[in-house]
Amino acid sequence: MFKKMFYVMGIIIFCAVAFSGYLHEQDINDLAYVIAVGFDVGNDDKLKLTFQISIPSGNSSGSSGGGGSSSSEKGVSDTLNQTVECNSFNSGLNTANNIISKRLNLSHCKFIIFSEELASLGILDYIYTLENNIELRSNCNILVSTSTAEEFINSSTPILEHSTSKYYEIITTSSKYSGYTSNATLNSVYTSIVDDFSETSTMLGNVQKEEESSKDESSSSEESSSGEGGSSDGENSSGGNSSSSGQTSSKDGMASDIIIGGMAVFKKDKLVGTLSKEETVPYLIVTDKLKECVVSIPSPFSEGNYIDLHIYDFSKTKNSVKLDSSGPQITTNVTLKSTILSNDFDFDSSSNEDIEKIISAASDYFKEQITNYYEKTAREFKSDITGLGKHAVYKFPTIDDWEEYNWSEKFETATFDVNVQVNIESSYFIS
Amino acid sequence: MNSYKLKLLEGIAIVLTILLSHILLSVPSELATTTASSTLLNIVFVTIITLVFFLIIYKLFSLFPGCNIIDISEFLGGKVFKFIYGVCYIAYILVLSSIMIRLFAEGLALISFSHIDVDFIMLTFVIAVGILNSFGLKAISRLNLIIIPLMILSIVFIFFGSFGEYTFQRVFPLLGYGLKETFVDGISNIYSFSGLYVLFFIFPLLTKISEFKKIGIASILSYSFFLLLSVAALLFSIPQIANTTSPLSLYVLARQISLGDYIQSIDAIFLLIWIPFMLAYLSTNIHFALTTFKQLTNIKYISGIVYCFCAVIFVIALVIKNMSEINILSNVVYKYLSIGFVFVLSLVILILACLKKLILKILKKEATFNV
Repeated sequence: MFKKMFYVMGIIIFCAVAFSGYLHEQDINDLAYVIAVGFDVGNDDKLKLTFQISIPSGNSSGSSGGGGSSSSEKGVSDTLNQTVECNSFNSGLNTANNIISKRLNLSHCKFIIFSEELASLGILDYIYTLENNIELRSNCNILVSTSTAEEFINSSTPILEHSTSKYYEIITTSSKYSGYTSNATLNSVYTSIVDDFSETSTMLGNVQKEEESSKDESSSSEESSSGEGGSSDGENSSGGNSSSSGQTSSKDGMASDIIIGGMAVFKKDKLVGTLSKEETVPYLIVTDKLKECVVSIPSPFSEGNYIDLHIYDFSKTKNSVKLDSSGPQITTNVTLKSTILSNDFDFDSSSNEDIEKIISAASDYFKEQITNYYEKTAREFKSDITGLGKHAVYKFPTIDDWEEYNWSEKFETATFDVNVQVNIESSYFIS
Repeated sequence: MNSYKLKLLEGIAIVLTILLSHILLSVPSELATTTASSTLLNIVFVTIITLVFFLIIYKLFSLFPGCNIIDISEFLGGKVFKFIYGVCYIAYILVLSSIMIRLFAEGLALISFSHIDVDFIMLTFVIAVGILNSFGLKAISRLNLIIIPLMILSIVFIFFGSFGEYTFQRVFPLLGYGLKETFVDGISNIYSFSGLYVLFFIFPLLTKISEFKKIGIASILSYSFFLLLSVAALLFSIPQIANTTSPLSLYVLARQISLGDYIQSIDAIFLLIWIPFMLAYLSTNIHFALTTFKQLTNIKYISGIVYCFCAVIFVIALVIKNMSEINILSNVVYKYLSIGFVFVLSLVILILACLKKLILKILKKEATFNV
C-alpha cells in the first residue's frame, strides 16, 4: 500500500515539477522589477509616478531614464527610471507596463518616496492602496523627499555598491549606528496612521545639487568638517568622487547627491513638519530605537569646544503619563551608557572630577535635546510621533472613554518632565 | 462506510479540523472588528460558555449511548422529524462548506492566482474532495492527523513571527466598546465554536464512548488557545479600527513575517499548508453530510453520492457573486444560522429527547408497577 502511494506521489510530484514550465503564465523574463517608486503631484493629472526599475546585470552597460510624460537623463546605472502621469497608483502602474513592454513587479521594491508637496496633501489613499498590493512587501521603506520624488530617484545611484537595490538596503541600516534617521516601513506607517495613540513619521530625504566643477572641493571640505559632527551620514558617505556613482549629472549640469537624514512628521496622514538629523536622536532615544550613535556635547571645560560621546547599550526608556485636568503630564526617564571619544588636553579622562563634569554636561545636553524635541512635536507639530498615547490608553476602560478624551488634541497641552542619567564607562587607551 | 472507528487523537484531529478552519478564514478579523480591544477577554468568556455547553450535551448524550443527533431526533419526533432535521443538517453543512470554499478560493485568487478564474480553483478543490471522500473516513482521518500538527505549527509560527510588529497596548482599553458589548452582545461570538457540530455526530464513531468527553474538552481548549493566539496576533499588529476584510485573516499576518534580510515573503509556505488543510476540512464536512444522508435514506453504497454533494457545494459556491455577498453570508447568515442551528436547536432537541426518555421511563415504571 505504502509502496503504491509512494509511486503515485512520486509521479504527481514529477509531473508538477516537469510540466509546470509549460503551463506558466509568466516567468522571470516577462517581469521588470521595480526597486523604488516615487509619488509626486502631477502637472496635468493628479499624480506623477516614477518607477526605478532594476536592469538585469547582463544589460546594465548603460541606461537612461525616460518614457512617460517626463524623463531625465543620467549616467551609467543599473536602473531605468520611468515617469508617468496618472490619476491613481494602479493606473500609473498600468501605463508604465504599457511603455516598458514588461510587466512591472513590485515584490522587490525597497523604497517608496513621497514628495513633500504630496505628503502635505495627505498620503492615506496611497498607503491603503500600497498596503493592499499583494506584491509589495510590508517592510518596504517609506521616505519623504523635500525635493520631488522623481528628482530623488533620478539622483540615487550608489557609490560603494554595484547594485542600487543593495544600496537601498544598506542606507536604511545606517540609522542603527548614526542615529540620524529612523526607518519607517509601509506597515508601520499604515498602522500609525490608523492608530489613535500615535502619529506617523518617516525618513526624510533630500537631493543636494552642486555645480560639478566645484564638487570636488566642496566634498573634500565636507569630509574634513565631518569630524566636528562626529558622525558619518548619507551626506558624507556619498560626497566622494563626482565621477563615481552616487552623484549624477542632471539636465541643468548640476551634480546631485541624495541625502537621507532627519524625519518627516505627520499628523494623521498629512505632513506637518520635519525634524533635523540632530532632532532625530532624541526621538530614537525616547522610542528605544537607537542602537548606537556619536554625539558631540558642548565641553564643560572650555567654551566653544565639543566632546564626542559614543552612546550605546540603552536601558529601556521609561515613559509614564499622568492625566490631569490641565493636560497630560509626561515623565520620561532615560539612562544612557557612553564612552568618551574625544582625546582632549582640556580634561583628564582618568580623573573622577572631570568625568563627573562630563556626565553632568551630557545629562543636561540630552535633557535639553529631549525636552526641545517633545516641545517641538507637541506645540509646533501637535503630533505624538513618539507614541506616548500608548502609556495613557490603559487608563481608560472603554474605547468611548478614550475617544472622548481625544488624546491627539490633549497632547498639544502636555507638559514634559525629562530625567536623563548618563553613565560614562570608558575612554581612549591614551589620555 | 462508518465501520472505521476513531481513536482519541483521530477524534480530536477531526474536531480541530472543523474548528481551525474558522481561524484560517475570516473569523479572527471578524471577532477583532466586533469586540475590538476586548476580543481576548471575550474569547475567554465565550470559551467558558462553550465548555459549559459541551458538558451539558455530554450529560445529555450519555443517556443515548451510541447515538448521534439524527438518531436522537428520530427518538424525539419520529421518522418525519428525523428526515426534516436531517435534511436541514445536510443543507447547513453544504451551505457552510460552500461559503468556506468560496472564501478560501477568493483568498487564493487574491494572493497567488490572480489570473485564474475562482470557479476553476473551486472546481479543483471539489474534485479533490470528492476523490478523498471516496476513500472513506479512514483516509480523511489520516489526512487530518497529518495536517493538524502542520496547521498548529503555522498558527504558532505566525504568532511568534509577527512579534516585531506588535504593539501590546492595542489590547487597551481593556473593555473595548463596553461591558455590555463584550459580555452580552459578545456572546454571539460563540459562533466561532460552531464547528463543534461534529461532536453531535462523532459519538457513535468512537472506539471508546468514554473518550467523547476527552475529545470535546481537549478540542475546545486547544481551539480556544489557538484562536487566542491568532486574534492576539491580529490585535497587536493591526489597529482595531482597521477593518481587515481579507478572506484569509492569517495571511494578513503571514505576509509581514520576514526572517532577517535573506528570508522574506515566506507566505507561500503557509499556503502550502493551508491548501491541504482546506481539503481535509471540506472532506470532513462532506463525510458528515454523507453519514446523515445515509441515515435518512438507508442507502447501502454511499460513494456514488459523494460527487453529487460535491457538485451541490460547487453550485452553491458559484451562486455567490462577489466579496460583498461573501461577507454578508459569512459574517451575518453563517453567524446566526450556526448559533441557531448548532447551539440552540440541537440543544433543545437533546433536552426534549431526554425529557421524553425520562417520561417514558417513568410511564414504563408506572405500567410495571400497575401490572
